[in-house]
Amino acid sequence: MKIFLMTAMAIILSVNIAIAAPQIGQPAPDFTGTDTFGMSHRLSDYIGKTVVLEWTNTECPYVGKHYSTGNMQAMQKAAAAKGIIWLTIASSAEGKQGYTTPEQANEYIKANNAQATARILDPSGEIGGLYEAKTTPHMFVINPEGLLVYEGAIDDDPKFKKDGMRGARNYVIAALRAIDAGQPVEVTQTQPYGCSVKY
Amino acid sequence: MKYFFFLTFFILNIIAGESHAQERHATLEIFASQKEASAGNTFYIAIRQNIDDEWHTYWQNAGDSGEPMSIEWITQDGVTISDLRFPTPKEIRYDPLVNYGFEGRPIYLQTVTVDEDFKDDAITLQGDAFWLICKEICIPEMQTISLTIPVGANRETTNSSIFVQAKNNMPQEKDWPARLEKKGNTAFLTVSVPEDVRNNFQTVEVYPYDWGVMKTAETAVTDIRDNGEVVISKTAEDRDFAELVEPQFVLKTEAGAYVVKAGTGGAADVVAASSVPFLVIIIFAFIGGIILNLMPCVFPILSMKALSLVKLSGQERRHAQASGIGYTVGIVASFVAIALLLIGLKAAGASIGWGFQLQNPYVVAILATLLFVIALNLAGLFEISSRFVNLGARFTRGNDVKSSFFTGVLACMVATPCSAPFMASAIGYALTQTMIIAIIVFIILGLGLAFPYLILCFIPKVQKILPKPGPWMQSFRQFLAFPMMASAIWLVWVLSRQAGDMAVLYILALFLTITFIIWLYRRSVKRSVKSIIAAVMIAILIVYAPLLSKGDAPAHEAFTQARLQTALEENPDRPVFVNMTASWCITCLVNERTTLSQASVTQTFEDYNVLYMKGDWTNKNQEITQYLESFQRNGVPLYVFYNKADENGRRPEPQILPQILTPAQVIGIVKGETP
Repeated sequence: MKIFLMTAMAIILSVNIAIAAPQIGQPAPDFTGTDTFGMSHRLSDYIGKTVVLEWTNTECPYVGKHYSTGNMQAMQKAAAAKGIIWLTIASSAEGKQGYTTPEQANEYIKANNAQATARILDPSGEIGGLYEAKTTPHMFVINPEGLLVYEGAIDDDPKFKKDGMRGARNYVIAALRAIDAGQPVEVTQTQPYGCSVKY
Repeated sequence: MKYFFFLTFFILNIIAGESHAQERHATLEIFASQKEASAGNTFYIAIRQNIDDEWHTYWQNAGDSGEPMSIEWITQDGVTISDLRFPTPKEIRYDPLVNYGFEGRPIYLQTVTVDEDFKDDAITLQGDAFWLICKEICIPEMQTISLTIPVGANRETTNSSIFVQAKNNMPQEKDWPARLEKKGNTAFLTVSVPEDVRNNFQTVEVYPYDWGVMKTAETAVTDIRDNGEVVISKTAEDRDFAELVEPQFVLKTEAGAYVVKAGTGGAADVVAASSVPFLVIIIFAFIGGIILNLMPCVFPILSMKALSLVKLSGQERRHAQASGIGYTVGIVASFVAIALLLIGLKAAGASIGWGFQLQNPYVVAILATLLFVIALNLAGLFEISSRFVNLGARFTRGNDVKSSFFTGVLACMVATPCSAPFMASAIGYALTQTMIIAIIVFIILGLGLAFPYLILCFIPKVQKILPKPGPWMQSFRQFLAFPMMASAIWLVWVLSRQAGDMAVLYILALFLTITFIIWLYRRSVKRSVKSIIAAVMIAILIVYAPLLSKGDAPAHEAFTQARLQTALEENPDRPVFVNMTASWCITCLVNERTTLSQASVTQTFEDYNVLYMKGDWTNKNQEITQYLESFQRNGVPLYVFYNKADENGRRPEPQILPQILTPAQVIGIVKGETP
């Protein structure tokens, strides 16, 4: 009986975890991921620092838009200068578009001069599932208290075409500035755009 | 300067990308609705996107990802072009994500208006169209399209077949009163649909124009109410609905697709709306649970429990009550466990419905063996020690609660192959609801199953109805072995369909071995010898267990979505009858014997040239599960009849037949006599 109850509880809990979506203003779900150099990163170790999560797929044209123009790298560099942790996460499953070995990922980082703190490989889709990451790029901003303060698109130009980056309103930069200034984040949620995450 | 560099680099990239893209996955064609146009004139243009097989493009709300087509027109002075109008979308699933978009050849529409003072000789439309096309991977594509229409007085229409098709595929705009509310984490869209339309559909797919309104991956639940309101509910996204300005939705039904505009307010009404069917479902679940007691696999267990009560003296009544509670808890706990398993598997993305447990040959084999062993026990070959399961042979004091609990678990296990009629609809409903509601429905089912015994235990007057104890009890008990054995035979047959003849050989050998081991243990042979023999036999059985896994697929006339689609579209004059069945579904088999294989029915099918398609859900089949879901069903049987197309070339909405068929009814529907 005891064993039965415990099993039932375990099932209930696991179902709950699977259902709980990340909520704005709530603690961001904790995870541990391994980067392209084999180092492990636990989100909760970065309490006290602002963290940006960027879902990526090296072959997605929308990711390409932000990397080929240098827009993403510029954001990453500016974030690094402010002591912000920037984790790029690739949730493509093995055999799907955007899946890379650590070596291939490092080549990509080098070729594109990516400036993120680390690139986490999540081929099981576990972290992607935890955050319900839908697109590449799908961005999340977590404040130093560990609360999720922004979730959605990188900017308000959801089109692949156009030279949009200059005129576009960048939601991630706006959120980071608000945190820096101790202000509440104004736009907390937008529709993410891009390719679907290839789980 | 820096930006200029990036921009140039970017543009070069696009151009380079274009030239590399040797293979395009969609091409556009453009058509005008009139041969000529002139100042002050308004006409249509249609843009047809010819999409390669297996690829898709996106609707204006692309769902979880994607980008809809956009066209930037370079217009002449005096010519205005309206926004792009998208046809009715469909769901495109890439679990766990769902997109809204198009496959095949969607046709978009735009309106062109020529000003009163337009003076040029010709109207030239030129635009750069841009879209994202995906099939697992996504590729952006672009194409420049152009069209020149001479200015003139000839307003004769052209390309009418394209425009008729485009119009048919556009959702119709309706000013039906509608409102959108969020209750808890469920979004409710309530629409007052005029009666003539409402009578023509059963299910609604809902497509919000705004992002962040409803979870894409969930299935919408439609409730058509007597007061004329249609309430569509779906898990809400966490966006604040107050932000939405006149949210619009496409409602896709069997009768057609409609666009409605909703206000956002007044929540009180909705609660009552959803609680009414819930109550009905609870009652169904309870009745279904009670009926389950009469099923051949459960009835013997209930009977044995009841017999144990006969033997009780007055003083032991307290034990009877404790036993009743133990039995009930055992049943309810097992049902909750099944519910959690189902919900867990569904949450993990498995596409399953009720009966899923019988799709696995190992589960079928275990259940068959269990039924067989119970039959042997009832027949009197051996007695089960009362430590775990008390089938009523004895009624020991210390263990009665515990043994009753496990009897309850056993009752639930042997009940799984037999689902009672009311039960199926209750479970089907439960699986589309939130976890709490699903669990409540399962608990009520369990209470229904436990109810008759509970009454016997708690109401002494009812106990008096039971006959006096006597030698008849032994005979009755032995008799009960037969329905059990019958159930076991049926499961062996299911197994034969599922995994072939080798599996039958295996299960029969298993029965033989188990019988032998039970017999052996009752002989006065040395214990160690018994154990060695049993261990060797069990080891051999385990080695050969893979025989149970599926062999060659049984031959049947197969349903596939693609084949159905082809039949519906390419042969509009041929009616189609779809039968979704499974070997373990007794109702399905009865229907096939009593109705579908009757000469009168086969003759009618022949006379009306009906294409008869059969989907076999005996084993897991994603396509069939999805087809069932498209009719809000979670189990078989499902019978759907698609009548031939009318004069306009459109098929009427498919008719769903009841789960219990009669020849007259099927013939009536095929002949078009039944509404």
